[in-house]
Amino acid sequence: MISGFFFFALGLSLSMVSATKFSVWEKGEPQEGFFPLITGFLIGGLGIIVAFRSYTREIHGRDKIPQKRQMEYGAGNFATKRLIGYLILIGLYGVFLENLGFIISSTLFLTSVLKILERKSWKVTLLVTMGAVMTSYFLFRFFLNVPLPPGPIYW
Amino acid sequence: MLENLVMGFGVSLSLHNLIFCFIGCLLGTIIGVLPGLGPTATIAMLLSITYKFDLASAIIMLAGIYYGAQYGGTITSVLLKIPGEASSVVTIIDGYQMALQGKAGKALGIAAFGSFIAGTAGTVGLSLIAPPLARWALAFGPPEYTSLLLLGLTLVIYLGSGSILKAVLMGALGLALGTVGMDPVTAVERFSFGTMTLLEQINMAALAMGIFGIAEILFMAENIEARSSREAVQTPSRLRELLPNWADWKRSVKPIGRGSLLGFLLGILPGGGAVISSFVSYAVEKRFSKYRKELGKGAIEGVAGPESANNAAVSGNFIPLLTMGIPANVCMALLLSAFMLHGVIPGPLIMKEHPEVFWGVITSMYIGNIILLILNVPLIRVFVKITEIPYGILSPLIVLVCVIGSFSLNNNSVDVILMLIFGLVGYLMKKFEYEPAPLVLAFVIGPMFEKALRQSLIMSGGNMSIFFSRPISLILIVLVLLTVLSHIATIMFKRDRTS
Repeated sequence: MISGFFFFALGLSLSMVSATKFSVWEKGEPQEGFFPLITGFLIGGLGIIVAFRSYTREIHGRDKIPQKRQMEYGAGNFATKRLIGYLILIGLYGVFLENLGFIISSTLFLTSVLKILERKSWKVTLLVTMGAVMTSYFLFRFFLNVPLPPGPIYW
Repeated sequence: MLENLVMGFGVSLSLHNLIFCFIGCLLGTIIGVLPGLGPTATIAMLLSITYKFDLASAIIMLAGIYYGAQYGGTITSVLLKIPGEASSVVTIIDGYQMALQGKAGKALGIAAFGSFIAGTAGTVGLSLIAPPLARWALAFGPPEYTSLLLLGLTLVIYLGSGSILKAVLMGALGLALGTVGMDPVTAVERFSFGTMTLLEQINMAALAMGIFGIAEILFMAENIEARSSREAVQTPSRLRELLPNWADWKRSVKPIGRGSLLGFLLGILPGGGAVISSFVSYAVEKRFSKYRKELGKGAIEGVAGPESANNAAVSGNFIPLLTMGIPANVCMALLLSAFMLHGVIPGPLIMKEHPEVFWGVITSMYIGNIILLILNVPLIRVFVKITEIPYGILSPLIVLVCVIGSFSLNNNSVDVILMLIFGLVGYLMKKFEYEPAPLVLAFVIGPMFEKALRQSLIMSGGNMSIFFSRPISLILIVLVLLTVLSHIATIMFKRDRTS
């Protein structure tokens, strides 16, 4: 139901922006606002139907999460913390990639994930991190000639 | 015809050109494996180098990169749920599920053999019926394209294995995401928030890597049971047990046949190509396959059909290029540049003026398909080892590869951030049981559909009857209605039976 209402709101916003900010139809021809307006209506309409169907299923008791699925999601807090940890570390990796450069940011990311989130030993963490960063850097930078962000270290 | 083929093989089987074909196939496979790179960038980088070689050798190598990349993209799709190429997105649906069941080798094997069969069949088609098919393709104007793409969009109802309503909603969201960027007709900026990256539209590779690859990592981070099941899977060690057996082949024959035909025909149409053909093939399997209920859960048909389609489409792509000098997509446009660098204009006269180039390239595609098979089948045992790496080590490496791939798209970190955002979106979609495949299909087709629709309405002065007054368009619209109605009828029939 939550997702249904979210899409309803999204569709409504898209339609309103398209109708007000862009031209929809001029001189017998569709303009730039036409397609976003139609898709906005579609998303909003389908969103409200999804929400309604979910609501009626809940009333009739057909939408309870089965016990098995409840158990899948996290043995207590550990899995949830790991998820949040991944979200934060991946986000930081993306944000600081260009500032710190590929080598430093990738090293920090891999070390943090392997040591803190995945609880690997220092030996495994350092071996995997160094191997992956060096291999990918040489493969992409020198062999395939794909530019990677240099950061403060430039080779 | 036979004399031309003999001449062509005389060119393509020379040691010189065999080496170029091998290099192209190898490079293409590597490029296809690495997400975000793509054959387009590689062909563009090598274009100037090929000036030093003769034309036939240059085209043979560049073509090898193009069809090699189609297979390369399959490897990461099946093993890691990262689409190496846009055309490999559909393979994720069943291919990855097969890998989770310890059948990664079968998925990769059927993809390799299916691609070989389809690629060879497509090349035969290219040899025999290129000119008349090219003329048929020319009959497609904006109204026909609109109707064809509308038919493609209706296929979203077949791409999900859960709620159709949610599949259609995802399709609509994909259409909306496709509007980000510059309007294709009026060039007005839409939803780009002033960023250059978004002005050029959301990159398909960033979206696909995020919604499939990163989302899977986030999902696995939280789902301990799924992780344990994945790590408990045993994969066979002998190559014979890894590869498809007789039962797998029996199930795959018809999907390979259907995929080959669909891919070839769609590949001829400019703008068609491997991506759309793989989605269409999957939808056709969902509709007509005897084992359609298993699709989405690791059915081999879900790999055999789309993989055959995307390789057959490659052969189809060459038809408008070689016979009329019209590139079907960006890669073909780059190949056209390679021709022009050597002072040759592909078109109707190329068969007469440069028959060694025309037939040399076509016959090299037979050879290239054999090389790809020889190159990749023995390596399946090596590729499958990736699934034995503990997921705790594999997942950050997947993130690393995705980050490199998305950064390399435009050499800026905005694509990386976008990919990560789509990763979060993909994770939430999984939690709320929305499937990503319909979104990706609509995202690919949406901009082309909008452009064709608006061009058609401009042609007709806003009159919708243009779609019904042209025979090909009318037939396609009837097919759209039949597709939707037959699906509704199937659902109502099932409801009657259960009640």
